[in-house]
Amino acid sequence: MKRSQLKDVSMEIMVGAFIFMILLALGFFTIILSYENIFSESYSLSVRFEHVRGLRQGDNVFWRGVMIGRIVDMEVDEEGVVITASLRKPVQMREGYRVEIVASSVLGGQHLSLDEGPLNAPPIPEGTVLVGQRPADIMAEATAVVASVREQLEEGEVLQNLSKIMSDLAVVTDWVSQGEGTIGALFQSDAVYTNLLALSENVNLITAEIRSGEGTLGALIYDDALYSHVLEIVEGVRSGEGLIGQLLVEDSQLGGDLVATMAAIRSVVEQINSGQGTLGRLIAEDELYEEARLMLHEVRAAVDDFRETAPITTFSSIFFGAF
Amino acid sequence: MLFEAFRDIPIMVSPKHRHDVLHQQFLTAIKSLGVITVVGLFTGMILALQTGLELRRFGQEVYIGSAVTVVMLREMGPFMTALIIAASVGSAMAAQIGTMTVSEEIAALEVMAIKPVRYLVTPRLLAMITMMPLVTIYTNIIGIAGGAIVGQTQLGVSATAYMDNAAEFAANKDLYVGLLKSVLFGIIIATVACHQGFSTTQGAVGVGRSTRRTVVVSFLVILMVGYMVTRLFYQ
Repeated sequence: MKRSQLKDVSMEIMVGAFIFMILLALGFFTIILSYENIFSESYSLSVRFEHVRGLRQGDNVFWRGVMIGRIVDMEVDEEGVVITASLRKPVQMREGYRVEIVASSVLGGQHLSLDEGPLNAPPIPEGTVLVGQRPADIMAEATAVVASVREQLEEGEVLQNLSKIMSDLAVVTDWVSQGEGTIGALFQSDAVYTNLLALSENVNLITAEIRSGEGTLGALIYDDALYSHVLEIVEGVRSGEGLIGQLLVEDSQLGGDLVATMAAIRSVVEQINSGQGTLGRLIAEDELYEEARLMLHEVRAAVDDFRETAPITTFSSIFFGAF
Repeated sequence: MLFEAFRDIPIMVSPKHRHDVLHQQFLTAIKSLGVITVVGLFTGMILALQTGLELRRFGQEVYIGSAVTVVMLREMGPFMTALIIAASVGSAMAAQIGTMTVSEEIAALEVMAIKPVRYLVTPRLLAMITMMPLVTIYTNIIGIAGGAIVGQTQLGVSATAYMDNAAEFAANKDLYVGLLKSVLFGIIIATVACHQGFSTTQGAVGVGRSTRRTVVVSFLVILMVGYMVTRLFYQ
């Protein structure tokens, strides 16, 4: 074979190989972009919507959040739009199912969302044209929400209240900046700050002492001996040792005596309250009280008389005693 | 000239002319693959990086797959391929035919009863029509791969997510409208180059001028036709 012929053959091979590879790539691209899955079985699902709000052929179909197919056909008729989806997996729809058009992202795009319905509901026969939910108009709903908020702000006097709050807040901040009130003093006065600082230091000191086991609280928290001692006391009391222990033990002699004493005291107090006995009559009857008061008055007068005549009596006794 | 060249296309399948067509196809496609690889790869990488950085502000960088693929299929693939082919192959065509014109080889062909259009233009036109879509597909693949590389290495978008997103938003219409553009661009490049070659005068200076005009006119016509085709299919 001549050199020129060899060159021609190699050129033909290269061009042919290039064309072959690119045509293969074109076929691959076409299959991928046509959304057809020719290598595995597919299942068809038809849904009728009143309005699809921008859903388009090639959009994804999600079932339980997993992408299981694509929309392959859309037909508009008098009753709405019938879309046909090609699914990689069969989905058994049941009574109570929901088929919705859902926004894919904030930047746009939509997909079909399938909810097959309750597990115990009767199944929908295969091939039935399902009825989809009317898609939500996010912009319309957002507009309604904004309008509602605006209405609440304007008619509910929220704005006026906010305005009043802001003016009150301005007054308060003026007070604070001028050093009025507790918070103002806190911000403006060095004395308050100094006191707080001293208080903080004292608290730190106390907590440090407690931490180091000093004082009663510190010993209580950190001294195991004290803890053991208190524990022993509590155990002793629980086992009926000592006066308090005996009081806490059921059916103890001391407890019985104490109960009897309290009953006797209660009886005496009841008698006094009912005006029985001397003390009771003294408390309950005003006449006796008045007599007691007069008697005390007379006793006091007699004592005063005695006090006044005592020097004379003493002098007379001494003078006449000498004779 | 263009009508005459189209009319002679069936003749090109004969063994006598097949070699001429094959040679032009080789020059158009295989000889340009190196440049096209580099340009396609970096076009895809630039597209992915620019769109990805903007989309990242919204946390939507996963959409670079669709952005790069749709832009490459619809516009950048055919356009970049046409620019490269016009600058390399188109200018070479104009220079070759222009040199033949000023050296009176065209006149000699006519004296020998060989039709210059059939002998020179038709193989080049047929090579352009057949190879431009194929080279465009190659540019698309390389550009999309470049975008995937940037997505994987710089934007944290896995190749699987990139391709899934690309397949979700791109459509066959995008691919085939792009291929239609590439066919039109091939016709434009061949026609402009051959016309400038046949119109060459004033020796070597004229050849240089024809070469420059071929590139400039091809670029301008490619831009305008590209816009009109886009306008026609995406209103």
